[in-house]
Amino acid sequence: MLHLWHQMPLLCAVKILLLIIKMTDELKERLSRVIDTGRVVLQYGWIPFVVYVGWKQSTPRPNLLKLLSPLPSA
Amino acid sequence: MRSYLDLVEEKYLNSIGWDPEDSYSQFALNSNNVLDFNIPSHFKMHASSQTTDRTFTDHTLASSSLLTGSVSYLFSTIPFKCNPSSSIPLNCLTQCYKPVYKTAKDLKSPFASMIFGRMHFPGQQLEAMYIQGLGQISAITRWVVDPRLETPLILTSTIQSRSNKWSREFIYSTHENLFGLRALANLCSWEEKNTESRLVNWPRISPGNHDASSSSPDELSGTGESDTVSSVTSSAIPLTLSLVTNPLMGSISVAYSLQPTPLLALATRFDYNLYSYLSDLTLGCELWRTTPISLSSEISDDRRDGPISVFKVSTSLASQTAQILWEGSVHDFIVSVGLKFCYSDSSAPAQTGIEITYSV
Repeated sequence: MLHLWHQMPLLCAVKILLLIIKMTDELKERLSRVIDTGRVVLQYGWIPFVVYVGWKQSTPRPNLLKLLSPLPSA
Repeated sequence: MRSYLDLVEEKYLNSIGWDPEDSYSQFALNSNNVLDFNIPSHFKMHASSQTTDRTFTDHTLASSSLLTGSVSYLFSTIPFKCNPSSSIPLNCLTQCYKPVYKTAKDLKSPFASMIFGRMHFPGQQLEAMYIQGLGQISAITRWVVDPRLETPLILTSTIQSRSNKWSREFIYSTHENLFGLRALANLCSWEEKNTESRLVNWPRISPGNHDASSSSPDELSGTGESDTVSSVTSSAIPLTLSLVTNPLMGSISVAYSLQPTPLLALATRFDYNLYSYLSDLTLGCELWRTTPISLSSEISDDRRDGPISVFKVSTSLASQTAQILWEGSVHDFIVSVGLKFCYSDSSAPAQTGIEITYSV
């Protein structure tokens, strides 16, 4: 019994370590999900962002169709 | 053929007062343009336009084994003008020999920025770029997002510092955690700037170009040393001599290019590897055709008396391949037709293609 009592701090430390590892895994998973979402937003949002900034900063503001089309008369 | 947006980027750099050729990546540009020009591999068509004074678009359609395409948009915080394909000088869009007229440049717009995005179809691969000026320093960030790749997001960041004397770059890429340092020094004197016909001896040296990887114990690292001497005078022949060495890989490359007449450029390059004893000799030339004077009034002002077509040929003696390219203006279009083949093996497939650019 005394032997087990002496091992208590070690058991607690192992338990805390396991908790941290578990949290780290959760954190890793959450981070991975955030990175994946950010990548998708970056992939599909960047070109609309470039077009929007171009439209917003141009004076006078052009027709959006003109901005998207390669033809000048569109 | 260079793309329309390459030209826009070059115009942007010129507008803010940066010399686009003052970079290590452009070191042996003249000989590479005459010897290693791009050959179109299939049918490709570009339709580009400057929609406002700060926004540019480019739509590309290509047909190889399947139909592919891309849409590109570019925005710059500073306004500048880019000519349409009907009046753009052909030597601006073509990879060609350009005599080095080096002048000291002052930074005009130190805090200008540019954003660019290109989406490829099918596959929805994104190429993006963001350039931000920070005084004498410029930060360039490029990234590629492709879910099909093992690394879906590859980011490359470059911090450049340029002056008339020095060009320094620090590069970091998330692909294998590569980082590199590059430096380029212009050893010419700037006393004769603002003189029209001057002697330009433009020796450049790039010592200690260093790339290293911090991702793994077996580091990939390389150092290189490059030297270029360009000479342009009002009376003599423009010529460029460049030497590129990489001691780690044991490679030595010596290139010599010259322009004996304004319509002809010749280049030769000898590559040698100290470890494998492999060598290669590459020869190439480009021949220009200009508008006859009698027809010049029918051509728009900017292209009057300018070149209307170029014929290029180069061959590598080690690989026994030859490549032939014709580029020219046909009405309002710029057309590029190319062929690359192996003359020692007739059964090897030849690469042919045609590329058409139309911009307004």
